[in-house]
Amino acid sequence: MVFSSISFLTFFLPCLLACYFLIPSRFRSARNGVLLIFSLIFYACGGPKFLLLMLLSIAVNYVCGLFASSSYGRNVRRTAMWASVVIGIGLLGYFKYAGFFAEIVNSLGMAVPVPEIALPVGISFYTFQGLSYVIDVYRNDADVQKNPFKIALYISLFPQLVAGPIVRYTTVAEEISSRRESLSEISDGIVRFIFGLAKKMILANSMGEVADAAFSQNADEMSVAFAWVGALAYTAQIYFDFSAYSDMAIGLGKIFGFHFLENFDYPYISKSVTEFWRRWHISLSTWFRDYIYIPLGGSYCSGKRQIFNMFVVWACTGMWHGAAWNFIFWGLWFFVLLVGEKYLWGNGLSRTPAPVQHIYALLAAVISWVFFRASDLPHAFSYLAAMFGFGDGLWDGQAVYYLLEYAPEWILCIAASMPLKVLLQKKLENARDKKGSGTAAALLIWWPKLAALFLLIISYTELVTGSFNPFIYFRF
Amino acid sequence: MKRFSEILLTGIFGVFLVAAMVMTIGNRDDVYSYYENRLYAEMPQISASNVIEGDFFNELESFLCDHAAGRQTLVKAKTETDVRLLRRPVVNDVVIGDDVLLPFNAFERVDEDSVRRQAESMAARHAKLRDVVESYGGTYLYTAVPCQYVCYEDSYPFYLNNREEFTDIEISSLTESMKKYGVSMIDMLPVFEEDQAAGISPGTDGASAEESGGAPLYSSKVDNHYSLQGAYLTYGEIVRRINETTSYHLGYPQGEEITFRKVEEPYLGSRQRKLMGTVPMNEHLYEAEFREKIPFTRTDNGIKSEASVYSGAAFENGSVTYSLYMGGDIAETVIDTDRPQLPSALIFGDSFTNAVEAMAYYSFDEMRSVDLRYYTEMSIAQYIEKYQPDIVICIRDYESLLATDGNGRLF
Repeated sequence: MVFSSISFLTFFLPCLLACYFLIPSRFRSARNGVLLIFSLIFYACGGPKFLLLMLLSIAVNYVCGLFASSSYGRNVRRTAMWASVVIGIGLLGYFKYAGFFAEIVNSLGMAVPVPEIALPVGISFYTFQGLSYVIDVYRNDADVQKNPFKIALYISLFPQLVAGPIVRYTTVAEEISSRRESLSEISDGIVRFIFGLAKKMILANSMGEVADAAFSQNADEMSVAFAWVGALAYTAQIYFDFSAYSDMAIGLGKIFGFHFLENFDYPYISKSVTEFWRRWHISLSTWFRDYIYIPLGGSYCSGKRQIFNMFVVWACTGMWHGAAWNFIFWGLWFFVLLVGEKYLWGNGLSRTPAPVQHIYALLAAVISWVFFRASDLPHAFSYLAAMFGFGDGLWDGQAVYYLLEYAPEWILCIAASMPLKVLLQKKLENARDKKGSGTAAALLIWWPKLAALFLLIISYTELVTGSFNPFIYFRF
Repeated sequence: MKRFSEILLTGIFGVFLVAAMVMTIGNRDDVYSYYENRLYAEMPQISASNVIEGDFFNELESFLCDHAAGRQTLVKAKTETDVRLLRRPVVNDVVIGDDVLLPFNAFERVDEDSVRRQAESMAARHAKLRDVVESYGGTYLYTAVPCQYVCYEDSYPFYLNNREEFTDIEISSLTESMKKYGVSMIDMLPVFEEDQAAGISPGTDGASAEESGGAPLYSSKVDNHYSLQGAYLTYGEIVRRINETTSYHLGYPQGEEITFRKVEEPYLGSRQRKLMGTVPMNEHLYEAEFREKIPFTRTDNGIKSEASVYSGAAFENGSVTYSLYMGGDIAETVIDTDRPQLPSALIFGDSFTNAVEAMAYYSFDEMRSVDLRYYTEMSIAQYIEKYQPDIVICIRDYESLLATDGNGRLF
């Protein structure tokens, strides 16, 4: 089930809200029970056969967490932690990478059957959440949770279950046991959820149609203009799709009293690739930083070792996104740029005018998304060739059509990629606090809510009128 | 004020969710969408396998989307917004032109060699069918009629595909191949253009060629099909060709023998229908009336029907659709005028045949009509062998000249 569906919006959510809030808040366990049951139903709607796998993952992490706690000796704790890592990564490896590795083996001349294994929805996300819990317990960064239902709720909590953000156990540990839902937070959560829904329904889906048209075409026959239109459309789609899901997850979390950390911070205004990765999929990059990069030695080692550490992290980041060479290449593309910024051109870049830095970072992102979206590596290279003039001509009717047809969405995408909302908010807050403006105070209270209600109608309209509705990050 | 705003927002959101749920459940009995011209998704049957695989929930989502509260109103509002406020060049696959609504043609790269090969192959198949007809002494005639995008090539914006390049190669190569195989073929586009240039026939609104400002008179502005005027010209050209090339002297109503009566209800063309009727255009359908009434009996799919070539079922929501002619697409229709001195005929093809058939029975004893998209009992070649009609007429529009499915599936 996805958030942007009629079944979620008009059936699942109202039923959950009713069941949850009809229980008095003092019965925290009962409320948690409702959330857990609905979370399992939410996951099961995508195909109940994979529910068992998630329950297995929960059980493994729960048991490993118990033995990784400070109550046990060092060897037991270490064994439990490694058991969790091996089983978690093993399951992920089997379901996500078995086919890919079999193809590699076959390409080396050894004939092995290529298994056709369906990828369980959200496996990459809940595996990483489970691992973070056990590792944090092992490191004494988190207290062990002895109640299996609370671990089950942490791992299966539906808002972030299938497409992130990757919520650390330490972020929500306390809130699972004792949290307070308030009208103010519910209202904020609703606004955040609706803004996310609108981003998905209005911007991401429209840009997806443009990107699909471009990437389904033979790159050799594409004009430069259309190739760029397609690449920019996908650049917009992936951001508004994924950040929309995070917005909805954060909003839904707030409604139920949870506070998930932000996952995006206007990444396309970055001035460098380093900055871009501080603003993009923050929960994933910090996960790799804390659980792979730093344990490998991080930046406190020789230059060569640092480069090796970065290579491992970015190869893993690429692999995490998909079992294909283009994803690995995508990760390594960022590895090269980040190493380059750290050791070669970073200082020089920072001395160039701000627009140059913005263009550089955006260009790096756009090119990276071509690797990400292309069907395979050869397609990515031929698409990039078309973008740089090795396709068919400079422009064609398609480029004009997709710019004109989606002109309102292009304009909105540009506006929504920039922190205009934050600037407006600050301006209004200044007017309210320093000048005592009543209008500003009223606007601060009312505009997000009124905008949300308007966007709810638009999003619902898009929902019932369109069938084009896939979430990109469901693939991971 | 803050708290009030929070209560209000939360309340409205809650009411919206519950109302949408209740109204969606209430809509579950709707089965047909008039404007989309399709059946709504049905409630999926629950089974262990489709639940385990997750198919049930996907199908349920389709069902809920189709039956969602306020869907029809919202689809209309969205279409209206896209057309009028956002002024998108293409809405619901319809190109919004000045005074004309056209189909959006997917962008394509025309492979001339491939088109020529397809045309050659299609001509060979028609030659084979022609041989079947001629084996018992019958006459075979192939007629190509321009569809709307061909008639309004110049009305497309420069950046959209009007299929001009494809059309030129398609019709020239098919004409050439038909000639090579000796299949008698009429191309109606030059006939229409000559008629309009000569200012002979009036347009759909009774406008003369001069009054139309150069817009095609023989094609609808709001539908893929030709006007009744276009169908009448097609019928006339077919009769003329048969009379020229055979010993038949088929009658054809001309002058005072035929009058065209305007249907007062506005025409809801397929393009307008796709736009949910939000773009009204002043176009009307016409019915042809013969001075000399020809009594006939009519059978549809083997069942006796009302003896009429104009269908009352085409009138809905205060407008009329192209299915006025012959009642729309029917697998098999037989019109028997009981005039054994006249030849029998078989007309097969897509819905372009309908408007022609509404007049063509004038010329024949028994007129059979088959639409192979729906007729599945036998191939058209077998059908011809079984009924041995004196004249077999295939009518294909430019969009489907080379299509090998539907009415292009000859054997």
